[in-house]
Order: sequence, then C-alpha cells, then structure tokens
Amino acid sequence: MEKVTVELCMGSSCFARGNSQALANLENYISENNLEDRVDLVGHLCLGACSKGPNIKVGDVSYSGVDPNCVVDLLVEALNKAATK
Amino acid sequence: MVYPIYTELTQCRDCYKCVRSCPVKAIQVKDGSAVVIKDRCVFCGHCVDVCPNHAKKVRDDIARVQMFLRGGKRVLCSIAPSYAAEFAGQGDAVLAALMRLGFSGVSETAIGAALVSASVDLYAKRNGGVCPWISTACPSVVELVRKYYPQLVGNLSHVPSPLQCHCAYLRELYGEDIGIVFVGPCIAKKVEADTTPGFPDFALTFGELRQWLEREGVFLDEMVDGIEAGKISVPDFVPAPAGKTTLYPVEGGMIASLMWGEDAFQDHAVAISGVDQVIDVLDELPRQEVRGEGGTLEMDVYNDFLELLNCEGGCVNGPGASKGRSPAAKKSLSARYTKTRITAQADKLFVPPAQFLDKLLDKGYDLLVRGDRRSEYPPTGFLPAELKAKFSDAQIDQALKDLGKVSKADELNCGGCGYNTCRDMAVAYLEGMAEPEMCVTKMRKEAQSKIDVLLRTIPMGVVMVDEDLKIVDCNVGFLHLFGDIDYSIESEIINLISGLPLERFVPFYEQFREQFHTSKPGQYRLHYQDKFLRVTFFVVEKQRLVGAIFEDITSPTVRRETVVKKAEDVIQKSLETVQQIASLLGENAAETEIMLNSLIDAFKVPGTDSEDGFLPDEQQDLT
Repeated sequence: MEKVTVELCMGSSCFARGNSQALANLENYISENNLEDRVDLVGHLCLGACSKGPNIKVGDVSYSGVDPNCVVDLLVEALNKAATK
Repeated sequence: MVYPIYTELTQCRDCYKCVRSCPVKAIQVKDGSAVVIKDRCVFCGHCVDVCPNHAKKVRDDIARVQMFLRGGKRVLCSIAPSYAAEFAGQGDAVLAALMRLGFSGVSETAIGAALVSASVDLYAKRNGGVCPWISTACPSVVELVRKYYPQLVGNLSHVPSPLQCHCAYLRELYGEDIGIVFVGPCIAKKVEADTTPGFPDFALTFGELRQWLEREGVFLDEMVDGIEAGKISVPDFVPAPAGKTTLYPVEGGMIASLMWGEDAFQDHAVAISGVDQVIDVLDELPRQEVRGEGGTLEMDVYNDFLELLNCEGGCVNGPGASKGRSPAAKKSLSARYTKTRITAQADKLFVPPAQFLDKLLDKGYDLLVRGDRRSEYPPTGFLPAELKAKFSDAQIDQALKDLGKVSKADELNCGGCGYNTCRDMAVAYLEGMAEPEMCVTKMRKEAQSKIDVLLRTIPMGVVMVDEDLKIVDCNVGFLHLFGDIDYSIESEIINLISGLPLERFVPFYEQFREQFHTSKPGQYRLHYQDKFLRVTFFVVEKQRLVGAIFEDITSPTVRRETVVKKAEDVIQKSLETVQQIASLLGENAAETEIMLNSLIDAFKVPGTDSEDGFLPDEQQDLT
C-alpha cells in the first residue's frame, strides 16, 4: 500500500492560523489508528503563500485556507484513495 | 482527533456540575479541571447543557461540511423531523436556506424512521406479534448499551438506526457517490457519522445550522418573506415526504407509528425517556439469549419492544436544539406537524418498499459496512477492559479513609462532589477519575480544624469581626488581654462570645470600622492599661470580615528602656574617665614644660649679642 505524505507549512503565519492545531489533530489520529507506517508527516518553513494560508499538501494535492477540523478528513480521503489503488 | 464532546480546559472552574449531571460518570477531574473521558462517554450532552462556564464543547463540524460541499459531490441534507418544533413557523424557510447553503436536496430522516417502523412491524408479524428489541433510534442509548451493558448488545434492534437506514436507502436510490449530512437536535448522531462513515457523512446540530446560516448572512425571517412573495422556492422533500414517523422525536412517537400504536393500551411496546429511567430499564433487562427469540419468559414484559430515548421527552428536547421553548410546546408542534402531514398530503407520502425492508431485516448493520471506506475514528464500541477495574473492599475502605470518611457515619452521601454516594466517589478516586479535594465536607472540616488549631496555639490575641462589629471568632489570647479574665478559659466560653459586639471588649473598636474601608490594613502600637501591644489588622473577606492580631510587647518594651538607661550610664562613665585622663595629661604637660624651660636657661651662652673677635673663656678647664 502506498504511503501518504502530508506536508504542513509551519511558517509563523500558517502555524498561528491553525496548522499547529492541524498538526496535533493529525498526530492524534495517526497514533489512535496506528497509521504511523502509512503516513509521513513533513513540516516546512514558510512556503511563501502566507496570504492564502494555512497551507497544507496531502499526497499530490495542495490545499489553502484549511480549517484544522478538516485535515483528518483530507487525510482519510487520501488514505481511502491510496488503499483502492 | 476531537470527539463529539470535549472540554475547553481553560474555561473549567471546578464546580463538578458536569460530574453530577453525568449519568455514567465519564468525567475525570484532574488538577481541578473536568475532562470528558471519551471511552466512557455516551454523548448524551447533559454536561454541555449544564456547564455554567460553557467549558464543554460540541465538536464544530461546519467547516468540514463546507469543505465537503465544495468537493463537488451531490450532497443531500437529512433533516430530523424535530425541525418542525425547532423552527416553528420557519420550516419552509429552513428548507430553502439549506439549498442556499449548497445542498442539492433535502430529505427527511423520518423516511428512515418509516423504514425502521415497517421493519419492526414485519419482524413482529413473523414472530408471534412481539419484537423484543431495544430501539436504536437514540445513538446515546446504543452507546450506553455497548459500553455499560455489553450483555444486552444482542437485544439492540437488528436494523440500524433510522438515520443509518435513511442513508442506506438514499444511497440505494441515488448511488454510492452522494454525500449525506444530517441536521438535528442530537450531539450523539455525530458518533454515527464517525463510526459508520457515509451513514451519514456528517452530523450537524440545529445550533450549528443556525450558526452557519448567520455566518453566511442567511436570515430565516427574510427567507419567510421571500417565500411569501414568491421570490424564493421551497424544495420538495426527496424522494417524498415521510408519514406519521415525523412523530419519532417525541417520546412514544415511534411506538405510535408501529402496529401497536393503533391500540390505546400499547401492549408489547413501551416508551421510556430520560437517561436515568433508561438505565433503570437496562439494569433489569435479561439477555436476549436467556429469553430466546420470540420470547418465552414468564415475565412477558421483557418481550416488549423498548423505545428508549436518553433525552427526557424525546429528541425535541435534545442538547443540539435551542432553548427557550417549553417541552409542551415542542411536543404539540411535532404532533400538529405530523397530523397536518398525514391529512393534507396523504396521497404523496412515502411508502416503504417491501424489498428494501427484507434487505434491512436480512442484512441489518452489514448494510453499513463498506470495504472501501475506512472508519474515520476507532468505533466507540465496548468499554476498554482497563476501565472496568474492580476494587476490593479493603481498597475502597482505605480510599474512604483518604477522603476523611473514617466511620460509616462520616459517609454523608451528599452528592456534592458529583457522585451519588461516598463509596462511588471512593471508587472513582481509586480509578483516578476523582480528586480528594472534590469532597466539600472533607475540605471544610480540614479548613475548620486548621484554623482552630492555629487560633488555639498562637501566642497572641486574635479576634475577627463582621461589618456590624460583632465578634465572629476569637481566641483565648484575646480574652486574656481584653476580657479581664485571668483564669484559664475553656473553649466552650469562646463559642459563647461569637455574636457579641466588639465594643464590650475593646474601647477602640472604631478603629476596626476604618479597616473595612482602607485598602491596606495597617499595623499599630497600642498602650492599653499597663500593657504595650502591637496590633496588626488583616482582611479575611473584603467588606465582610476583618481581623486583628494583638501581640503583647510589654516585657520587650520594658527591657528596651533598661538597655537605653544602661547605655547612657556607660557613655557618662567613659566621658568622666576621659576627662580625668585629659586633666592628668594636662598637668603632666605643664610640669614638663617648666622643667625643660629651666634647663634651657641653665645652658644658655651669655652675650650672644657681642661683636666678632676673641672672647674670654669663662670656663677655663683646659689643663
């Protein structure tokens, strides 16, 4: 099964606007479901798109203005896709 | 991930109201803050309702639904029938507003209820007129059974909940690719979205819907006007309006829609609402296996169909509904809505298709299992084994001792901590769910004995007065100083003193009155009768209680004066000595001067003022 890479912008703007919470939500979800070997979490310094933040990339898809409550849904969707491949 | 109910730690201020209201005591108090333990929680929402600081939060799914809608899928809204009571007079406006928010269509959850009711009827018909199931309409009851009555899981309805059946039916009608968002009065429905993803995809409360509408600037009053003016169209329910199952959200409404509902006596079906009563019912219920399919036990009551709803009066009073309308009004609104429905639109109502009912009864919960869809959260199934720890009597007795309950008489069972009995509290303490500080009696006793010991042993006079300058508390030291009592005072007398006016003891009582108004209590020195006292005022409670400490510094004062006197003596003595030495020195110096002068005279050379040249030597001793 393919691994899913989640990239989060941890620049100060994205971090303050929700990505810190997003990271916590993802980490909780991954540990509660023992998905450590299926998901790679990658942090970035500022990606230069602060005005559209918080920015996050799940697999190949980039998302802007992501609500931290939604990141798990994005991950689940990507995991479902990866599983059916 | 966030569970449907969670705690905002910073807002919690140890009142234990949530612990008191929690039917399953799923709330842990740690460092004075109450936290919902998800593995124990049945998501009834009581704590959300009662928390005076709004520290118990319902997970906000609005952003998730908005993202879901942006995904481009066809998304239907499954609206709970209680919307008729929640949005009385604005029902059509809500439906139109949902379309404006981006939903492709609105369907009634009561369609699912119609499927469930028809399945139950069908099952009963095939089983000798009885259906000994517990209804799964209430997700909180389902959680309760799964976590606390695992032996009764077999008693749960074999068909999924009305919402889950509704979703399964919509997917059968419109294809697997649609999205379904539930909107209703229930918090626990979020658990259904979490455990059986897609059935529905998301669940919102009415409160969340109102919030969302407000955020989008959609006002229901304006929608009502727009509909009346013919500018806004109201969507028809897909696939059809439901029938009398729109009465489901009222206690007994489900049974009214079943075959037993036609009978005024409703034998073989019982509706119970309110979580405490539900727990009483479950406590007594025998296991399905004991009873056997169809029921053969002598106590026929166990063969009844049980409509159990954790919210008192039914879903209309759910925690996700708005406050401010009485349960009677809500019940009446629901009943009228249903009646209008079945009389005015009788020919258009939804009729459950027979072949789908067979499928429901045949497959049951398997209809909801999807190989390609991961469960989003660990299913909140049974209570984890580590939470079912049992404690020995000795352990519990020791815990009771820690809580200050030494004898049976100490167990007040007051419920102040949130637990019904001190024993329950002791068990919770052993489980790490509760803290000893939660026991008000223990804390009060401790505080009292601390102050008693302090007052009794402090070697000073202490008095506390209220704003009327009446003595609230004092100690023996105070009475020794001001009471003109020499003999040792028994503590009983002190109790008699409280309530007496301060002026009967101290002449300077007005000084106390000032202390109520000064910002900083002061320290004074006081000469009273033959004593020197240091008075330190302190504020116990602002504007209400002021106290003073009297420290007898008489003996140190006397001692100090002696020291000063002695020091002055020493100075005087040394001065005299110095003077004596000085005068002796002076005399000595004078004598020496005289003697030296005479010596100078003796050695003096005469005629020192003579001219140059030879002079006669007067001392001719050069022989």
